[in-house]
Amino acid sequence: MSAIPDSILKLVQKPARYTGGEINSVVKNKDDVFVRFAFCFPDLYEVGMSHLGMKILYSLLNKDPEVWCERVFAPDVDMEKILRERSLPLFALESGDSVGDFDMIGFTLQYELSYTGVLNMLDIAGIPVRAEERHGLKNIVVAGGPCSCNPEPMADFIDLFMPGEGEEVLPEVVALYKEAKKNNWSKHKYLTEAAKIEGVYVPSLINVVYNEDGTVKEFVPKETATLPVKKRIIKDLDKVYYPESFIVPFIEIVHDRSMLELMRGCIRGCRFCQAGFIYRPLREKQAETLEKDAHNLCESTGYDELSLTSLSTSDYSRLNLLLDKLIGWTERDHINLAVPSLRVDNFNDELMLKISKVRKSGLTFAPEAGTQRLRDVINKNVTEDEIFGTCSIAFKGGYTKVKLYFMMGLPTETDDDIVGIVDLLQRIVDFYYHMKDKPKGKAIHLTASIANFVPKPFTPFEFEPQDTREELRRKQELIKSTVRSKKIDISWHDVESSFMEGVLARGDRRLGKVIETAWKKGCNFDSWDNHFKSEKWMEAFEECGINPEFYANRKRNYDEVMPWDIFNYGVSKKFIINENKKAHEGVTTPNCREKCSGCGANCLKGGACFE
Amino acid sequence: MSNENGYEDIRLFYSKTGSAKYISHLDTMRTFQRAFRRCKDLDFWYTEGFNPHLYLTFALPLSLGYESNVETVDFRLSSHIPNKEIVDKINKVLPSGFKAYKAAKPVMNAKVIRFADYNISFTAEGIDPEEVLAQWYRCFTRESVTVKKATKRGVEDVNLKEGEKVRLSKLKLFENRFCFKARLVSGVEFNINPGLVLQAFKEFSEIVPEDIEVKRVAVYNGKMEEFC
Repeated sequence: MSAIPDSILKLVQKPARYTGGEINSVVKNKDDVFVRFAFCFPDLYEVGMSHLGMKILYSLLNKDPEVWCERVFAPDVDMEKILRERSLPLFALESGDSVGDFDMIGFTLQYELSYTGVLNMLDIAGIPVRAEERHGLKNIVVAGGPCSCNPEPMADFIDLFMPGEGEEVLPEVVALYKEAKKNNWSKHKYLTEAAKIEGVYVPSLINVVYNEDGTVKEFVPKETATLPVKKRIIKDLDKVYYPESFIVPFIEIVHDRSMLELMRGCIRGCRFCQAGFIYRPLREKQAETLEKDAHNLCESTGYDELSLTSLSTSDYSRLNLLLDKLIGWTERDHINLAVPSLRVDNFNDELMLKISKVRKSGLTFAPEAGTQRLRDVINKNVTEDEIFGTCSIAFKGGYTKVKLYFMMGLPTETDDDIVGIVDLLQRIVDFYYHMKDKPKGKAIHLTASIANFVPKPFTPFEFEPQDTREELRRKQELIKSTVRSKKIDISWHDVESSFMEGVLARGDRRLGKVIETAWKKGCNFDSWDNHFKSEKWMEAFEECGINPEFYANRKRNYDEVMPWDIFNYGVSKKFIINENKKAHEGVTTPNCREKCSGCGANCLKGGACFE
Repeated sequence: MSNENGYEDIRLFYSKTGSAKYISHLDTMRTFQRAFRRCKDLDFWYTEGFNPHLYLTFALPLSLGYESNVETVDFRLSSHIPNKEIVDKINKVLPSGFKAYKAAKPVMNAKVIRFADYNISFTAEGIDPEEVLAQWYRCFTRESVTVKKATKRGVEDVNLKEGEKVRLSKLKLFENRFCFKARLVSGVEFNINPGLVLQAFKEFSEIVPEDIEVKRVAVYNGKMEEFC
């Protein structure tokens, strides 16, 4: 099964990352298939194997007897060293064949700090990293995933992007590739034909013209390309393909369980949250469909945990019905139900009871900001009463470990808002000790994770300057000097890596040379604190003559042409601008169920937006 | 028949070969748990606590990278099934590299395990084979062969020649690999790993054994009866 020599596997950490052969992995006879697709995740096995989108598209592509989709992950540092020393190429897990042998190479771009990983994987595979240096039809490099909503920083390296949801467009792109391969098309012919498919973006068919001040002036499409490219969505989630089985890894992965996708999109419209805008409109799956999915997965994997995933699980309108259906057999079959992504404003006793019936672990909530004023600015429609109400239910239910998520560096933020985070945490601790019916003999423990806010495309904050690194550091110090209680633990995000994320998130294609330079200087696994090399990135900016602060810390005008204006993500610019204005006025916007705010995402469904 | 507790104890014997050797002991436990949960034809017994789980016990942990013909896992079934059928049904759900070959009522407690036999081979690139054989002979015919062993109490010196800890066959060259058999003291009280023998050789000769292959081929109690 494994094509990797034993002599190498014996030298590396966690060799089972590289052997393949897991239950439910798909092995075909390569003589029986016509197109070979390498699905690459630019991070370690444990991270990539946790990704639901890859599981869906892997199974979907493999349904086609003419196509064999295999998995490729970034080798860890020890394995990469051996591969390079012995001139061995990057390999796919199912066949052990070199990635360079594959027709199509697909990357999923889940986070900006994985971009150097894409280049590194191509390079270990012996494939030129720049699209213009790959001439043949073979090794077409395609990409999708949330970061392809602004693909421009990666435009030099990727032949074709598929913004939006992949279940329909990816098979179309592969079908066109079959035609191209049968008829010996050139790469150029394939790309120009692919550009005609709705939801396909071919960066080499677009010229970007810049203003003197460095901002984008306009995009000029060439040949078959037209702009804007409309992202694809699946209109009916009950009819779309969902895998009946997941690959069951031998080693422990980050999300080591069956996952049910309850819905796509989110009704909330928190202004900082990119997922809340780019996955619109909201579409739910029927509870019956989900129960069938759950049953299939549990039977075929043997996993003892089932997670209900979505952006905001307690907003799933049939959650109680679904939980009742599932609890009917998960208890009998000894399966734990995990219900992450709950909100504080609709967490109730009934839900609490159902969850605690299953398993008691920690609880996690995300107030995001420390004061009501700032929560209104970011449209996190959660009140302090709701936060304390939830804590009260949770404490009475026996939960004494609570994790809270906050951000710093939000637009309009003052030091009062920063101190407000600590103040809120302290009052939760005090609240616990003043509760008459608190759990006996148990100490409370709050963990607060405070992330640095990164403005993202297609959100109302896409115009906002990110806080400078100095300012973020000052605010971290301010919090440190304010916390007094030993019941409160605070964790931070690294300021330099948040800055890089900010640069890449709103970057344009001039950053391609910076990414390539940084990678050549050894940047890889940038999302891992122990691998992130800030000074190398800064050297790369210097050498390329590019000021990173132009991208991260600059305020944009409403009429500036953004690099991601090549796309229509459904949500209109007018809505985004209006939301930005409301943020600065501290005015909230009701959620989609309360009132339609006319964001425009319904155009993607061709009908009314809400249910 | 299940006993008065409502379950029957089963010991499953299996081999772990090929790339399954890269699955660690902990991951092997998880692999069996999931395989058993996929096996709908057997009525596995679950613990009855607040958090019910499959009851699984493994006798002698096998190091990452080693193969074995003699692994065992104990579990409980709530209803009786002929042993032959248990083996067949479990083989249907195990990943490749794992193969069950016998199921039986456990006779011995895993605590009685005292010895295990291993077939071991390695290469020594760029070194005259005669030199390796000669060094090996010199290393293990010494009065005492002392190596550092990590234990729960920290690093300790262990003399492999003391007591009945280690018995080695003659080192032979076969198809460019150096091969030998080892009978090593094993079990919960004191355990000598094949790696320790190779470490002793490496420290004595400064020859680095490479591409090491180890296969466990037998497990015994103190009376040299095979574990069953």
